Amino acid sequence: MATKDAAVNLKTPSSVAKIVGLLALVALPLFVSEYQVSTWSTYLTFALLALSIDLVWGYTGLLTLGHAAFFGVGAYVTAKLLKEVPVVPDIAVVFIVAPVVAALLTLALGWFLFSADVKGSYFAITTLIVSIIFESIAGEFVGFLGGFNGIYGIPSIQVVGVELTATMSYYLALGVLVGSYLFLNTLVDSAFGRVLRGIRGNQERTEFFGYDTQQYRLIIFTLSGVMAGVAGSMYATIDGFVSPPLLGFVLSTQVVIWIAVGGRGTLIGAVFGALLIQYLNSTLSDVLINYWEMGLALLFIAVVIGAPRGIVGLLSDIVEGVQATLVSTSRNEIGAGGEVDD
Amino acid sequence: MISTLATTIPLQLADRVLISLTSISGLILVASGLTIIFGLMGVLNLAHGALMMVGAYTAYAVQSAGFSPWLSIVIAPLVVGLVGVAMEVTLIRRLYDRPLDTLLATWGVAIVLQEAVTIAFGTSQKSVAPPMEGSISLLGVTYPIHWAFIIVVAVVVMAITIGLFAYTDIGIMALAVIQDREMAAAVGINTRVSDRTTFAFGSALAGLSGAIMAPLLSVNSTMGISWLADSFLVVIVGGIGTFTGTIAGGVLLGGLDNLFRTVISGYTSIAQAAVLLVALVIIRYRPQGLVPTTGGGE
Repeated sequence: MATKDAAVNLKTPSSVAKIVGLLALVALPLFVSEYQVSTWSTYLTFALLALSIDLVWGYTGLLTLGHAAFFGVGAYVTAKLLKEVPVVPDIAVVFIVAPVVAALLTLALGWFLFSADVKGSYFAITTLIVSIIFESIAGEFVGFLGGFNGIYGIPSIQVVGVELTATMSYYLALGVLVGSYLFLNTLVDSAFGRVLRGIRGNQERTEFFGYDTQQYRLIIFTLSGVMAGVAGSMYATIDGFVSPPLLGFVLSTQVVIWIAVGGRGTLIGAVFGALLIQYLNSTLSDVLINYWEMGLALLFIAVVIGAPRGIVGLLSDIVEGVQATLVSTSRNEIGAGGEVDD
Repeated sequence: MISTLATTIPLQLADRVLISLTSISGLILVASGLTIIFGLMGVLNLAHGALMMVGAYTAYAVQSAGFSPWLSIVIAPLVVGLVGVAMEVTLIRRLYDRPLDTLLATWGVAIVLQEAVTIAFGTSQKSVAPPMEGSISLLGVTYPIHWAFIIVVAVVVMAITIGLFAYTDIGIMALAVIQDREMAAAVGINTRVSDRTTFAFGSALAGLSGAIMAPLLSVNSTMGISWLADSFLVVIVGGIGTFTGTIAGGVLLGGLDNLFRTVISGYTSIAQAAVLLVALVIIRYRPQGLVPTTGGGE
C-alpha cells in the first residue's frame, strides 16, 4: 500500500518537472541565436534516437550497440533524395521513405537474429558488427556516398515550396520528439508494454505464458528502427551534412551511455540523459577537453555499477524518500490505526 | 585487420602466404587474452582493445625513455597486467553475475584509458621500433624479421597458455573456479585470488600483444577499437572457451581477410565488411563456434 501511495504522490512532482522541461524547450528559440537553435535541433533528433534505443534496451532488455546504423541510413537516404531527386516531397522523404528503409533493415536484421534467439551479449556484439559494416561501406563508396568526406549541402525541408527556417525545423523536431514520447508512454503502459518488460525480466517465463516473444521483439525492434530512421532523416535536413561516423558504433555506444546516465527503462531518462549530456558536451568539452570525456566515462561506470536507474531513478528515489518521510510523519500524527492499515 | 601488411608487398603467392601467416598470428595473439577473459571467465571485456593499446603505448614510453625494445616487450604485459588487477578489484568483481553491465562498465574503462593516453601522450601517432631490425629469407622471399617474430610469439604464447591451463595447478584451479565458483571455494581454493590472477593474466596478454604488434601499426589512442571487434569475433566464431577455437577462428577470419583483400583489391573496407558479414552469419547459424567446448561448465 505504501508504495502505491508513493507512486500516486510522486506523479505530481515528476509531471511538474516534465512540464517545466517541455516549456523550457518550447521557449528556447526566444533566448538563443539561430545557430544554437540548429544545434539544439540536432540534440532533439539524437534524443529521438535515444528513445528508440531505450525502447529496445531499457524496456525489452536487448542491448543494441548498432542503432546508429539505422539513424545513419535514414540520414543518408534523405541526403541522396533531397539533393538528387527533388520530385519526391521532402516531408514524404523524412516521414515515409527514410523510416520505411530503416524499418526494412531492422525487420530483416531482427528476423535474422531473433529467429535464432540471438540475445544478451551476442545480440550486443552482432548489432555492433552491423554498425561497423555500415560505416565501412559508407566510407568506401566515394562516388555514390561521398566516402569518408560524406555528403555536404543537404537542403532544409521544404513544405509546399517554402523552406523551413531554423526555428521552424526546431519546432518540427520538438513536435516529433514529444509526439513519439507520448505515443511510447501509452505503449509501454499498455498490455503490449508489459509483455516487453516480461521479456526483459525473463524471456522463457513470458513464453510459458503463451506469448510469441520473437514476434514482440521483432515488432519493437522494427518500431525503434522507424524512429531511428526519422531521427536520422531530420538530422540530415537540419545539419546539412552526413558522414560515415553517423552510422558507426561509436555513436551507437555514446547514445547508450546517455541513456544509462539519464536512466534506462524510463522514457524521460533517455530524453533527459541525451539532452543533458549533449549540452554539457558542447559547453564543457572546449574547456576540459579530454578530462570531460574521461569524467563522463567515470560517471557512466559509476551509474552502471551503483545506480542502474540513472539520474532520473536517483531523483525519483529522493522524491519518494522525502514523501515517504512526510507521509509517515503525518500518519504518526493520526495515530496507530493508520499504520496498521498499511 | 593489418592493412599495412597487405599493401606494402607485391602479390606473389609465397609473399601472400607469409603475410597471411603473420596477420593470422597477430590476430590470434591479440585475441588470446580475450579467450581467457571472455572465453573462459565469461567477462565481456570491451576494454580489451584499449588494454592492447595501453600495451603499445607502454612499449613506446619504454623505448622513448631510451631503453631497449626487448625491455618494452617485458614491461608492457606487466603494466597492463596491473591495469587488469585494478579493473578486477574495482569493477569486474562486483559484476560477475551481470554480464551486460560488465560490457557497459568495461566500455567506460576503454574510454577512460583512451582519454588518459591522449592526455599523457597527445594525439599524434607514435611509432614503435621492433626488437630485431632487418630481414630474413624465407621460401625465397625477403621477409622482415619482426613479421616472422610475430608468428613465433603467437605459437609460443598459445603453447604456454594451453600448457598453463591444462597442466599446472594454478591453471587447473582457475578452471575449477570458472566452472563452479562455490564448489571450488568449498574445496579450499581462494576464488577471489584466482579470479584476479586469471583476469590479470588475460590483460597481460593483451598488453604483450600491443607491444609486439605496435611496430606494424600506427599507435594512437583509438587503435584498440578495430582490434576489439576482431578479437571478439575470433573468440566467438572459433568457439568460446577453447584455445583451439581461438586458433581456428583466427585462421578462418584472418585467412578470409587476406583472401578478400586479394580478390576485392582496392576496397579494403569492403573486404573487412565482408569478413564481418561472414562472422555474423557464423554467429547466427553456429553460435557454439567452430570448435565447441567439450568439457563441463557452461
